[in-house]
Amino acid sequence: MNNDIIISVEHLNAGFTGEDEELVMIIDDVSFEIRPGEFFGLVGESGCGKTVTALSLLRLLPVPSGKIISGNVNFKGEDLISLSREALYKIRGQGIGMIFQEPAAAFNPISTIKSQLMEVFDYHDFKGDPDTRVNELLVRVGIPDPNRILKSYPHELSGGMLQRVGICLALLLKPKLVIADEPTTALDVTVQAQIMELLAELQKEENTAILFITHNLNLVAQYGDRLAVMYAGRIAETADTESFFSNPSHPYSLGLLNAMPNLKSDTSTIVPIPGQVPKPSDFLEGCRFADRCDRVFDECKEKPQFYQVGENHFVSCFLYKDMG
Amino acid sequence: MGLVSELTKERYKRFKKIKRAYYSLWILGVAFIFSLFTPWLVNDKPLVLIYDNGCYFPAFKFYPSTQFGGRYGTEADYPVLKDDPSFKEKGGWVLMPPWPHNPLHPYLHLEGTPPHPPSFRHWLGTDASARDIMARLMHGFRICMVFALILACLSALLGIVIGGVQGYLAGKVDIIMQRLIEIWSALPFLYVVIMIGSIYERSFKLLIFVMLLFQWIGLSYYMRGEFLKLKNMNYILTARAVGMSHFRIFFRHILPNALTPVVTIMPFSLIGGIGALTALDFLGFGLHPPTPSWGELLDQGLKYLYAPWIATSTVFALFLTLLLATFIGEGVREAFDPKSGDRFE
Repeated sequence: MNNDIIISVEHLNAGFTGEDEELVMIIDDVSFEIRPGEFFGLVGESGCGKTVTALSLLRLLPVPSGKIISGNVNFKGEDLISLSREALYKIRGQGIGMIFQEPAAAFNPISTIKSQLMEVFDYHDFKGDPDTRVNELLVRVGIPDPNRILKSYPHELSGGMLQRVGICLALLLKPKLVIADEPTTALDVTVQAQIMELLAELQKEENTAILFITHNLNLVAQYGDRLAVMYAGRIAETADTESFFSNPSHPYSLGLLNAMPNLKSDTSTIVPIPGQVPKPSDFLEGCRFADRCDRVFDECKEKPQFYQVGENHFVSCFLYKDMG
Repeated sequence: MGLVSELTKERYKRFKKIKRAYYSLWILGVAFIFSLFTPWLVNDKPLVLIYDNGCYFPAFKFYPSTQFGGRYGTEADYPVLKDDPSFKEKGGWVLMPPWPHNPLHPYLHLEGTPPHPPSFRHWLGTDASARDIMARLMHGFRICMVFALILACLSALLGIVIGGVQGYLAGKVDIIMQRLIEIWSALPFLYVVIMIGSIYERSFKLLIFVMLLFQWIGLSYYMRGEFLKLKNMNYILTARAVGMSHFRIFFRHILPNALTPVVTIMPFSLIGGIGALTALDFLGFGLHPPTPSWGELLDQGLKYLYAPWIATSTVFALFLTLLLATFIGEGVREAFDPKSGDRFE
């Protein structure tokens, strides 16, 4: 395994069994790699499998309905999918931290912030003094008076404050990777900007990689080093951020960009992508974007491979078959 | 976790505002604490006895009657002893308990035939065996309350664990356990009590055990629901994501959030326990006679309708206890779940 890679996800397939005991695949053959200290954006519309991907990495899918069918997640030379439970629990929190979408719901309403932060040290090894670490990190995430916050209950704090605490919780044990699942979606825009700045700074300081899951391409454009665009459970395109925005290749990526308001472009019109993301049970066999794509042709009935269109830039679309 | 959270304080404040519940809790609480001392305070053994320049504590220690000039090695008959002239000659002095009657002692020397009507010495009269009713009521209250409290606590414990496991694991485990519980709960309780009571000797412990077999079921339904709801909360996912074990999540993150039904049901569980023990005693399947018991007194009351003081006092005591407990339960429920009088216009 390449030493420059902190986590590599290979051919991950996961799904849910519904009421009728039938397995519905949500994510299909998802692969990507994240390098140390990298800000990796995973972008896609609602319901395209971003969160399922994130949860699968730590085997956090709700059991027994959620199931990882196949694939590997290599983290520091260990396969998280086949790892024993005890070892996995050690990696959760210590190796990989997580930040969730709704900070208000992410904390136990009846215990104080302090007990919820300190609890983490009870079952993980940490070199150094937990109290000092908590206080330092709280100040670092922009909480001016840690002592007051530590004594508070979650409902006494605002969403922005709680998300700061959430970031603190994720970073507490200096993980090598933080999975941030739409951490700013539930916050208002000014707070959102603060949180993003904070994440970007902390990522540099603590040298953690971030897997940033979002539906907001702008955020990735601003902060991301690399990104993957997901559509209907599959990765459509992966690229370095600059390469992606200068040369978006997959028709879906183009559609996404056209659907965003843009001050710089000459035309002021927003072009929506026709149709909507299908239900997982209705996913197409071949290219999953085929029924919404305006450049669809015969070959799209097959499942497309990844074709290279630039350095570190891969697209899963037959349009680029002949380029490599 | 703080020992008393803000929410708990808030709830306590609300409870305090509900006056009749608050006072009921005080009255019942004081009565219960007092009742724990009835073996010494409601008895015919002197608390302090001075005799022949010696100081004795018969209520707490056994002394043979020879110690006080008697003839036998058995325990002295203190009510008789204290008026004995030869006892008084040697400087004998006793401090009797506030209610100096033994609930098991038959006062056969009283005029007429038992049950004796209320008199200056026996305010509530005596029962058919000439035992003081007041003393029996007070001792009965203690036994009843201790029984109901132990039962309520143990059944809460069992209900929490079983309901919690069902709710947390859900799926097949839940369905199978739920069906088993339904079958179990269909067993006729009274027959089980009668059968087990006839095989083994009926005792306080056995009765608690048998009652416990069925009492936990009600609460387990509530706990199952709470756990089903809470285990999918986001903060449980957060806890899992930092590597917390199922065991820890069960007890530290879900259970404290699921305790509301336990607390609100507790007073009613207590009422149930009191009622059940009284009913069993009334039917004769309860505690062994001559244990002081309200159910047994009720039974006597029914048999000796011409002695209305038996039934009247017992029914009144039972009524008062259940009323106070109900007031408390009502208040607790209200404090935990305040209903706003508002609706959308």
